[in-house]
Amino acid sequence: MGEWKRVFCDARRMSTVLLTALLSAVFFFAGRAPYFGPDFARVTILCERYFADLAAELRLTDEESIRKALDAEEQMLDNYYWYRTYGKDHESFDMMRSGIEGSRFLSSLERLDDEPALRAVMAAEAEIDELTSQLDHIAGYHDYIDSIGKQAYLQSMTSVFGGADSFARRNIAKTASEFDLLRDVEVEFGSNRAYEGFVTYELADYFYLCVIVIFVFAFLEERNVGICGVVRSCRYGRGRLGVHRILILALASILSVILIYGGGLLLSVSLSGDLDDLGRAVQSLECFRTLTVKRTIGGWIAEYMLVKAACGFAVGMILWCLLGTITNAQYSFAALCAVVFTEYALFSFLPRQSIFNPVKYFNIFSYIRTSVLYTDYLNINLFDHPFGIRDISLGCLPVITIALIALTLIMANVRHPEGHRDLLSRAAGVWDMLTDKWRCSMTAGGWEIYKSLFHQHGAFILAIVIIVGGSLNFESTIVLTDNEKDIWYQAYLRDLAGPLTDAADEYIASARASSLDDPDRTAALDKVEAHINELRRRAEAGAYEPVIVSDAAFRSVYGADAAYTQRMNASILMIFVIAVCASVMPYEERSGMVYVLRSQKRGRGAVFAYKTAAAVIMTFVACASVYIREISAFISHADSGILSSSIRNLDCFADSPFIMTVWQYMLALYAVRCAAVLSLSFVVLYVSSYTKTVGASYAALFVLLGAPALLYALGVDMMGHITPVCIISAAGPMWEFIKNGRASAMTSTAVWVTAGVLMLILCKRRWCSCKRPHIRQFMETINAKSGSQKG
Amino acid sequence: MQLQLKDITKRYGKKLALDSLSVTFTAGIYGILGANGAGKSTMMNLITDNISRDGGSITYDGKDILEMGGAFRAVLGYMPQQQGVYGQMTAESFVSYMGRLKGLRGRNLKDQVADVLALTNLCDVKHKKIGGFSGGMKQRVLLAQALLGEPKVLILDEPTAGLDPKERVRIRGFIEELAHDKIVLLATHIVSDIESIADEVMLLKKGKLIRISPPAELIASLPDTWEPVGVRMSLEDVYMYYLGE
Repeated sequence: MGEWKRVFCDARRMSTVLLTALLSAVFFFAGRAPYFGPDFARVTILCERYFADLAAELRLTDEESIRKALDAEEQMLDNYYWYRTYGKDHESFDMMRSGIEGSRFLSSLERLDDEPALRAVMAAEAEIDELTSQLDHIAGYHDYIDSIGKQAYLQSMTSVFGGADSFARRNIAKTASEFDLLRDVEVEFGSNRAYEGFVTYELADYFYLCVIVIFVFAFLEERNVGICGVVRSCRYGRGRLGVHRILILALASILSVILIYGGGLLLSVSLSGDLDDLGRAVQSLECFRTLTVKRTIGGWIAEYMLVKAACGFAVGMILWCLLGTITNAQYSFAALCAVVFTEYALFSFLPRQSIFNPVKYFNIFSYIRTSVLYTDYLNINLFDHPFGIRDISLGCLPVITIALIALTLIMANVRHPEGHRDLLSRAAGVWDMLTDKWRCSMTAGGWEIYKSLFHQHGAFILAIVIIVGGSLNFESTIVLTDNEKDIWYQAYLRDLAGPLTDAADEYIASARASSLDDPDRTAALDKVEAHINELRRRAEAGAYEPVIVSDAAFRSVYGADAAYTQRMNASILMIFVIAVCASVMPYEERSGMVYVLRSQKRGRGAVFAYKTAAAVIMTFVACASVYIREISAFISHADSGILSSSIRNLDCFADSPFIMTVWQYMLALYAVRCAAVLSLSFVVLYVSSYTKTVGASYAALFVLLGAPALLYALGVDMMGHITPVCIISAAGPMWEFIKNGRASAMTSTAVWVTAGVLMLILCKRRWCSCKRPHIRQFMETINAKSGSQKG
Repeated sequence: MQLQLKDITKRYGKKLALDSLSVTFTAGIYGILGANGAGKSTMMNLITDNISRDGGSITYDGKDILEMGGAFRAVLGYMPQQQGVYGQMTAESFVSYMGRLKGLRGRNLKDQVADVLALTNLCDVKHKKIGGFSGGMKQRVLLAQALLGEPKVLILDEPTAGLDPKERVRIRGFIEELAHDKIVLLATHIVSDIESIADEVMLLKKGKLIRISPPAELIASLPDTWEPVGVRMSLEDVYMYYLGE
């Protein structure tokens, strides 16, 4: 009972589990959001509800009527889009007034600003496409089943597929017979989004894995605190404890499934689902087109939950055995990482039709990404016999689980925890011996960087930062126009892009001649001419070379249109910097080395300088992983020659008081950003110096800096007052400063950078002086004072 | 060579850890005896400037150690009571790293690292990670780093705790050898360690200096009526007489 209580009543562990479940729900919701910015939550809910209502309304209607209704709906959304873009000027204005009154969705959009309303319309149009695609699937399902049968018949007649005993023939026959069973399945139209969203939400599988890992780590705690021997010396510290832990893991798997998948399903259904849909055949969902078992959606969900719990338990057992077999905690973690990365690489990158596909599906990730076993249909060749990937993976599950239970119990009874005699420890010993010479030649500064990268897992975190940085989006969609005149105008400007010479006038003249008096083209050419004259006038006044460039790419990456993208990326960069710098200072406290270091000749100022340098280097790598990609995104879409042209050639900076080229502007922008991010790293160093453990440091920094930044990025504007996201993104202040020459726009940046430097000085004083109170000591002092007052 | 503590006071909240402690150390071994919480580690942390003092001054050869800063730490070797080490480093890497922080480099660093590892009997395990070491081995690693850079002031807080008797005798002999041109402050609960090597023994009780004299003098100062703990009078009797409740 004590072990159950230890595992399930640990406040920190259980709150981490709950936080993971909460994060899973938050990311699920964020995944449904059509955009991030003001009212994003409201827009998301409106769009999801719109989908559910539309699907419910059309559910029992015939195919023809559904298509007509969807077309009408799409037309209405289209009209509304242009109505919101051009207001009263648009021809559809009067028609729209009555349309809005008849639609709950459009009436709700009327209460939103233009940006969220337009995003909602675009999302709703995508939903219409989704419903159309679903309708195509429903209409063509039985034809699809028939085609598999026919194809199988034709293939069986062809000699190229080998003899009757060959894998190909057997595979064809198996596939045909399995799909033949689905002839009487009735697929129906309905609100699939809730269930498809639940099935395809990949992150839930990884959050579930995290929770399982948290429970597995609970079983290894005694090793980390060095009381393995004590536990094993107790009467019930071996086999019986092992049995209890196996049962605990089983219960934890079930509870975690309820928490993460149950919670996700509940959220998904409440957003865009309809409980009436649970009785439909699961093949009604497009993602289950190839599923060859007959189930209702509700039945499949129940089965999936049970399978997930069993898979979670098996994965937990695998991790536990792997981590428990290797005595040294560090090596066992390294081995775990190696195994998980290898399995992931095989699972993700091995082609489905590869001859090695058994290792792709007979893989730990088949038990993590279990939905793949239901959405993918594939037979694997095992001794010339076809076996379905689901049959193999789920069929082996009980065998693997029993084997792991047996192994765990044997280990619990027989294995001696002390001695470090495992193979990996020996190999690591040889490696240490070989590399010691190199390490001993490192300077003190080199040592600090080495410690940050390898002892504090900085290299590992940076690798993740670089990978995650690749998935960031840097461009915002800019609605240019649907106006015929403006479309011509943009096309002429594209043709004329480059230095502005007399050739431009010749081009305009020839374009006028070929415009055939088309009013839109003539008006566009007038506008181009006016633009060119304005460019010449400004260039002459400012003494710079006039260049015709489109500022669309510039605006989509650095402009006001990209404010939300910039905000999101700055928030993620903040999280990156916290992740890489938070452990630099508390590491010494955790190692118990502070006093020894400080007693050395170069243990104060020099060590602090090296630590700062390590933090700065890692911060720059994190910055580079984001900003290099941003620059690359800009350059790949910008007109050639934009970098060397004056910023005044861009319409958005036409009135700028500064004479500088675009690349100089970018240089200044990135310099300001780097200064702001460096200040952040100094703040992180200072705050983390008050914590004694790395975990406490991460927690404190996430609460102080990470959470407000994320909330702000997600549209909670109130957080803008307490988070430096805008300063770090720098786009807004710099834009304002360069555009209007208002130095006051940069005040907040200057204050933040000064604060960062001040924090660094305070942090240095704290490290070098002997007064080093910690949060805990503060709390003890406060408690003592309040106690004495009560007394 | 003189290390002088004058009217040193240190408080932890309401608790007085050191009460106007004044003492002068010259070359030699000073054994520091006191019950738990008597102020031994506090005194050592004050000398190493790891905690701030509430009053008094500490001077080395007449100069305040706070003003000397790095110059004082260059002559300081400190071995703490807690076994804080970088578990991921090997013994050799760790000692080399500490050597770098003491300002050693090149051949000098390499030679000194080899010497201190040999002195502390760690040559066989120098390529092993410290995380896997026993308490006694960690103790020797910490002692090794304290000996680097030929310190003039060596502060050893419980240096022989956790060592086996053979190793203890070896280390004790080694400290005795070192002491002719150094100030060695040795705090320990193992009274026999001090008795055999200390030139003077300092008795601390509740933050106050009770007495500082050579061991023989202390033993002789015991009253005739005192019943020895063992077969003969020893420092244990001194401890019991002066520091026992």
